[in-house]
Amino acid sequence: MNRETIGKTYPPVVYEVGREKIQEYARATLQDNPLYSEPEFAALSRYGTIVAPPSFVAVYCGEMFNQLFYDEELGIDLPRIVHGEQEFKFRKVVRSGDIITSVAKIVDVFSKQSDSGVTHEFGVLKSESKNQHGQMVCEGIWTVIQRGVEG
Amino acid sequence: MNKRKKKTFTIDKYLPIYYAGASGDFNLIHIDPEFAREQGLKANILQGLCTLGIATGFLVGQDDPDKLKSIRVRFAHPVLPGDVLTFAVESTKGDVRFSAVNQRGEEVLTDCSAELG
Repeated sequence: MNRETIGKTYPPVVYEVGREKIQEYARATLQDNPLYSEPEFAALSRYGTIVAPPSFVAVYCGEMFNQLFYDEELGIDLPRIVHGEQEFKFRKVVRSGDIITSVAKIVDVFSKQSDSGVTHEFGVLKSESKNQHGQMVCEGIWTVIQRGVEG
Repeated sequence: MNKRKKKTFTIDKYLPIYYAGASGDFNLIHIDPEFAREQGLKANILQGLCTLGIATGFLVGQDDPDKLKSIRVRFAHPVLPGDVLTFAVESTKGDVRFSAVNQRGEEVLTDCSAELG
C-alpha cells in the first residue's frame, strides 16, 4: 500500500436507507430487535418507522470500500486483505428513508512485522456519515490488514 | 447492562453468503471455500463486520439502539461456517468490556469495548 495516499479523501458516497434492506441486514447479522423488522411495532415507537441497527453503517458505507479496494494509487491486493480493527461512534439512530452521505479519508498506512517474521501492511480509514439534515450519524475508524507473503 | 449477560450464536454454514447479499461484501474469501483455501485460510471466513453486527445485536438486545454510543473490536481470529460463538459481558465499570469466543475457546474478537448510554 502506498504511504503517499495518507490524507487522501474519497468522493462522498450517498446511500438511501430502505426498509427491506434493513430487514435483510438484521436477519444476516442475527439481530432480532422488532424495531428493525416489524413495521407495526416500529410505527408505535418514538421513531415512527423501522430503524437500522447501529452496525448498518457497514451497509451505507459499503461503497466506500470499493473506492478503497479498487484505488490503483493505493494499490491494494484484495485477496490478501482482512479486516483488522473497527471502531464506530454512533451519534444518531438511522431510520428507514434517511439519505446518508459518507466521506472517507485515509489517515494512516504502515507496515508491521509479525512474530513469525512476515511483514503485514496496515491501512487506516476514517469515515464520517451524515443524514439528509446534515446531522452526524456515525464516525468510523476502519483498519484493514494486507497479509504479507511468507519467505 | 447486566454484568452476567451472555449469549450463544450459531454461525450457519451459509451465513457468509446471506451477509454478502445483505451488505454487498462479496469478497471471495468470504463466499468461496476453495478460493479461501488457496489464500491459506482453513475455509471461507465470515465477514468481520458480520461478527461486529452480531456483537451489536448482543449488546442492544431488544432495547432502543440509541443506547449504543460506540463500539470497538479487534478481529483476532477468523470465524468459520459452523462455528458457535459465545458473547459475554466481562465488566461494566466505565465502558462495557465484552468477549467473543468460539467453541474451541479461541477469542475471535479481542480488545472489545462499548459505550452504552
